[in-house]
Amino acid sequence: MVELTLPKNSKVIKGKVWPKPDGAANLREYRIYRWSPDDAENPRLDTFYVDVDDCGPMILDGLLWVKDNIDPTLTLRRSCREGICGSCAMNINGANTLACTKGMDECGKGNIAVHPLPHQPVVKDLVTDLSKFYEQHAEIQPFLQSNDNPAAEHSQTPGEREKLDGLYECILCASCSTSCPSYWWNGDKGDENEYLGPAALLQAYRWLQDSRDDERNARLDMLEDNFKLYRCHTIMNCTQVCPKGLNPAEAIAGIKRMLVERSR
Amino acid sequence: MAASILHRVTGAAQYGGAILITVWLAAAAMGDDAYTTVQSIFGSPLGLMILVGYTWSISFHLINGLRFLFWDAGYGFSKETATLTGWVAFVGSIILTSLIWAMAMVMGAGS
Amino acid sequence: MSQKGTAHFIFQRGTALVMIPLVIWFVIALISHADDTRPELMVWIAKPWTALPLGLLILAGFFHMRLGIEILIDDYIHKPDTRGMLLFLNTLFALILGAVALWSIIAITLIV
Repeated sequence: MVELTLPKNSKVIKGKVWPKPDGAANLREYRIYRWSPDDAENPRLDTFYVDVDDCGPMILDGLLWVKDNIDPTLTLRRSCREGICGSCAMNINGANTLACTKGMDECGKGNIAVHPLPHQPVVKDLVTDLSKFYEQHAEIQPFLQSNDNPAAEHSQTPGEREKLDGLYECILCASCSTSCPSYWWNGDKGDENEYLGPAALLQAYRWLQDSRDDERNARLDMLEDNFKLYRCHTIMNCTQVCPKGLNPAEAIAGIKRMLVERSR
Repeated sequence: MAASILHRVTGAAQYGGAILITVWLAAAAMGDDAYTTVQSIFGSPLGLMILVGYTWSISFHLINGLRFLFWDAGYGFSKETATLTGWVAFVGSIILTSLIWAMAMVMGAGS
Repeated sequence: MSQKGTAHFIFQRGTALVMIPLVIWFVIALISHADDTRPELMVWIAKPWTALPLGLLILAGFFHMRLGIEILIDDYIHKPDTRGMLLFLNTLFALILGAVALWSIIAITLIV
């Protein structure tokens, strides 16, 4: 049965309120989820006051300012700081997005709540275990399977190449899949009753739409059971949160249409 | 998002709706006593409230279902369109329910 | 196992499409017959152009309902035994209710 409450040791308790920085004219309050595997404590929400004049405008800038100036143990993933690597995906004020492309000015005037991606195992603080997510991506065989053996490149017209627009740009940040209720309830089953999630399915569509690929039928066969694809009920949280502006819901609907057409 | 869970809730509520319709049909087939009993229960204040609620439930499920069918055909997937059509479904269902019951009352319905 | 997902999807959408005109017709018809006495109602239901669409609505509707609840059970119930039992009960519910509704229509047609 779906669990309706968190287990006792997962309940988020009130955390530490860290001191305000001296002499700061403009402060922004951050409430950040903290949990460490090294102690036996429950997760907690710490309050930090960020001097916004002393750091860049993005949420990631604020988080790194906290790490540099207040609490160096704050743990998060980050790399490119420009929205292309996908490392800093997290839940900001209730919505999944990249911390490096989310401006503090887009977060209203009140405090900024920062949580790790929902319904994922937490490694520490804002870092979640994404191994399942990557496994699901691997499962859809994200590589070209062609029977041709051209002397040079596989040819593709501009029109055919256009079909990959809106699909190839995915940076696998996991914002979409971890915002999907179906993925929460069915994304980690580990057996044949597992939903692959919007990101893996968007990539599946990317390969299904690639004119150079020859394994369309086999790819569709793999998706045809009741769970891998069909747990999608067009809830559309995925499209609402994608920080790259992609549309997993539309891609998934495209796969469903392909399956209907080939069954005629 | 809200429209999605509401679609599921109104769908599940059709279990109740199915019982309502079946009971009504069966009562009509079984005899005057059965039918009069069912009519009076449906016509009671609580019964009427349930019927209005059921009308709204099926209206929302139908209009939102249309949204689903358009999505399946490939239309309406942009964030803006999806949000707008969600509101249309919600407001539309309230308007539809009001229209249906207004019509029913104008026609002097006792049930 | 493999064709199941797509078949469900097609049936769900198919019954939905069929039901759009049927539900609209039924609601309007029901309103205009809301004031009927039992004999009047039965005469109306017994007519072939009422009984047939109504029968079709019952069939499509209960099939659609059963499929929808099956999806819901698959989503939320993960223990195989509980799931199997609930799926069975769901089908049973739809079958029994559908049978009663269809029988009622046939009975009315025969009585009148």
